[in-house]
Amino acid sequence: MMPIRESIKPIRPFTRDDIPQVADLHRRVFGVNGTPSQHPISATLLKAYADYLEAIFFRNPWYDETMPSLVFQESTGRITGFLGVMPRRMSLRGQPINVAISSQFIVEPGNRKAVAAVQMMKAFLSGPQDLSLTDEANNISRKLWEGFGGVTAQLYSIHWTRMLRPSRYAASLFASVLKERKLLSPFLLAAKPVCDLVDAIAARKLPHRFSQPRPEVEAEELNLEKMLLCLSEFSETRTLWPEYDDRSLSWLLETIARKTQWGDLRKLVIHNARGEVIGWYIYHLKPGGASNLLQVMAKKTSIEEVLDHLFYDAWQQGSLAVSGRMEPQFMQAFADKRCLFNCGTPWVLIHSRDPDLLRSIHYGDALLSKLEGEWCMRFR
Amino acid sequence: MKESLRIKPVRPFTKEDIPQVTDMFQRLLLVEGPSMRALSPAALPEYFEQIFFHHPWYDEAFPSLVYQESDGKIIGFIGVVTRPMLLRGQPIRLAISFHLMVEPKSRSSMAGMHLLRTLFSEPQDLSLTDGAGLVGRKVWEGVGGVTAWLYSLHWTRILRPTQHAVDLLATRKAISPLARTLSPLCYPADAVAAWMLPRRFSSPPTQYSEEELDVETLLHYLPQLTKVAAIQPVYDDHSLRWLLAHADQMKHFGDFKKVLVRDSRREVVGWFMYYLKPGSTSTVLQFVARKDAAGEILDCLFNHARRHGAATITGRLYPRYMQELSDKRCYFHRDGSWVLVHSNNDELLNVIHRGDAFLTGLEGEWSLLF
Repeated sequence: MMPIRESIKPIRPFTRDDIPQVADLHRRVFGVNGTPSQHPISATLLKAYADYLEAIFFRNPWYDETMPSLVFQESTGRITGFLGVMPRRMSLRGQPINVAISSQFIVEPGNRKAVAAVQMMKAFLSGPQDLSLTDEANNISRKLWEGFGGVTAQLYSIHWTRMLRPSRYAASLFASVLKERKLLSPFLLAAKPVCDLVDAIAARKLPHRFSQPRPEVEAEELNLEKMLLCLSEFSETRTLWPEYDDRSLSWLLETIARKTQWGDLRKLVIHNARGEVIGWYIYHLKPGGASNLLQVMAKKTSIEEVLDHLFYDAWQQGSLAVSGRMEPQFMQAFADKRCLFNCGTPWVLIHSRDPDLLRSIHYGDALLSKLEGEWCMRFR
Repeated sequence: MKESLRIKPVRPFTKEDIPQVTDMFQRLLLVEGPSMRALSPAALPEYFEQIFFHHPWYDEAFPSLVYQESDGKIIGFIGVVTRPMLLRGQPIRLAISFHLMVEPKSRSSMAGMHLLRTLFSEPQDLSLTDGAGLVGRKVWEGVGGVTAWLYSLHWTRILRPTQHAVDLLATRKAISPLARTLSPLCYPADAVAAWMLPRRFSSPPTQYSEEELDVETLLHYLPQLTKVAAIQPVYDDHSLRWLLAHADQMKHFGDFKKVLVRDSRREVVGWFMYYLKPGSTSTVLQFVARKDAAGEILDCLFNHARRHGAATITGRLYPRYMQELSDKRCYFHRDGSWVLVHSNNDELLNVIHRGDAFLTGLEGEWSLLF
C-alpha cells in the first residue's frame, strides 16, 4: 500500500531528473527577461537553466536533503509547480538555528494553480527549519504565506534610495517611464550634458545635499578572510546573525559576483584613523545607473562615516544613485543622509514557531541583508 | 513614610504647579516650533489645566509628573494622559506622555530619567510618546523604552508638483520673492503635469460620495473598521467629542477636515481626517478603510486635498496600509518625531513592532498639543 500512496503524492523533493521540466516551467511562467515565453526552449537556454538549477539547488554549500526544493507533479508525471529552497545557518543569541530560504516559487497557470501553490507552501513551511524566509515576495505570495501563519517583516520590507546625481537620475527615471511610449527618449539622451551641468551646480550650491566630499576614513578591499573576521567581530551587535565559514562565504560571494548584469561587485572594509574596522559594505556598482547595496554593517557610532564612504565611492565610479534594503538599526542614519524610503513589495516574509526568533526580526535586531536572502538564487 | 515622600524629587503635577510649568514650557518648548510661536502664551495655563486635569479619561492615579528641587523650584515636567484601549478585545490602559522638559542648567541632575522611570513604574499597560526628538529617544531608551520603528515613519504624496517646488523655495529667505513671482504659474503647470502623467499627479475619480464625518457615525464604525488590528482604541461620545473639538482648535496646522466616504449603496467605506493647508503641505490625522478599500479611501483623500488646493499631503505610517500607500505613489521618510513605547507586557510590544496596532494621530499626543 505504501508505495502506491507515495506515488500519488503530488508534492515531492526536487531531483536532478526534474531539471529539464523545471527549466521549461520557469521559462514559460517567469520568462528569461521577465517576459513569459511559449516557444520551445533552446538547447543553449536549457543548458543555462540546467547549470543554474544544479549549482543553486544541489551544489550550494548548505545543501541538506532534509530541506529540499519541492516540485508539484500531476498524476500524468508533468511538473506544474516548483519551490526552490536553500538552507542557511544563522545564530539566535549565539545558538545555531537552521534557516530555509524559499525562492523561484513557480506554478503553472491553470485549474490546479491554487491547489499546487497551497500544497507546496504548506509542505515547505512544515519543514524542519527554525526559520523560513523569502525576501522578494509579491502580494500574492504574501497572502498565501500569511494564510499559513507566516508574517510580513515590514521593517525589512522598506527600501531606500540615495540620489548622487539627482538630475540625471530623475531623467533616467523619466526615460524609463517614457520607454514604452517611445516619445521623448532621444530628447532625454540629448539632455545628458544639461543634466550633468545641473548636477554640478546642485553639488556646488547645495553641498550638504548633493556633493560627496572625500571621506576621512580609509577603505580597502574586503577579502574573504577579512569578511569572516568582521562578521565574527560584529556578531554581538544583533541577536539574529548569519553564520558563514570559509567555504560557504566564498561560494556566496563568487555566485553573486557572477551576476554581472547587476554591475561589478565592490566589497570594501572601512577603517578609522586608528586603523580599527568601523564597518564594511558590499554592492553591485552600476556606472550611469542605480547601484545596488547588498550589505552594510557598521559600529553604531560609525554608520554615518561608512555610508558617506559608500556614497562617495559609488559617485566617484559614476553611479547616479545607490539603493538598498533597510537595516532598521540604521534607519535614522539613512534618513540623515537624505535617502528616500519606499515601502512594500518586494516583501520580506518570515515563518517560525519560535516567538523569540520572530521578535528579533520584528524589533529590527537581525542582520538580514540581501546576502542572507534570495539575491544569490536569481536565475540572472 | 511622610518623610520619604517629602524628599522625593518626582511628584504628581498639581494645579498649583501650572504657573511654573507653563513658564518653563514657554521658554523651552514653545520657541522650537515656528507654528507654535503664532499662538498666544497667555492661553498656556488654560491649555495645561484642560489637557492634564480635565481630559475625558482623567484619573488621579495616573498623574502628570514634575521634578522639584529641594528649594521648591520645578526643573522638570512630563505630561501624561491615560486612555483606554483594547488588546485583542481585552481592556488595557495606555499612558501617552508628552511635553517632557528639563531646565537646561539642571540636565546633569538626570531629572528626565527620573521622571520617565517614575512614569514607567506606574500601573499602565503601555506608555507611549509619538513626538520625541533625538534626545528624548536616548532618554527613553536609557530607561528601558524602545523605538517603534515602523510608526516612526511618515509618508508624503505630492499632489501639485510645481506648487510643492515653489512652496519649498518659499522657505528659503533669499529666493522667496522668486517663489512668489512663480506662484501664479503653478496652477497651469500642475494641470499640464496631471495631463502628462495622470497616474502620478491625479487620482482617478471614484464612485464614492463624501460627507461630513460626525461623532455618532465615527463611534459606530470605528470599532468595526479597526477590529482587524490587535490593539484598537476605545471611545465614548464624551471622549470623542472632546478630542475632536481640541483637534479642531489647532488651526495653525490647517483647516481640520473630517470626511466620511460612502459607496454607491450608501454603505460606509471609510473616512479621513486631516489638516488642510492650501498651497502647502496638509497633514493627515487619521484615515480608516473597510477591508480591501484602503486604495479607494486614499484616492478620495488625495482628490479632496487636491481639489482644495493642497500641494502635498503627509501623514504618519499606519503599517497595515504600507502597500496601498506605496501603490498610490507615496514616498516614505523618517524625519521629525520618534514613536517610543514602554511596556512590561511582551505581547503588547510584539504587536506594536509587528505594526499591528491601530495608533494614528488621534490616539497619540498629536491631538493633545497646544
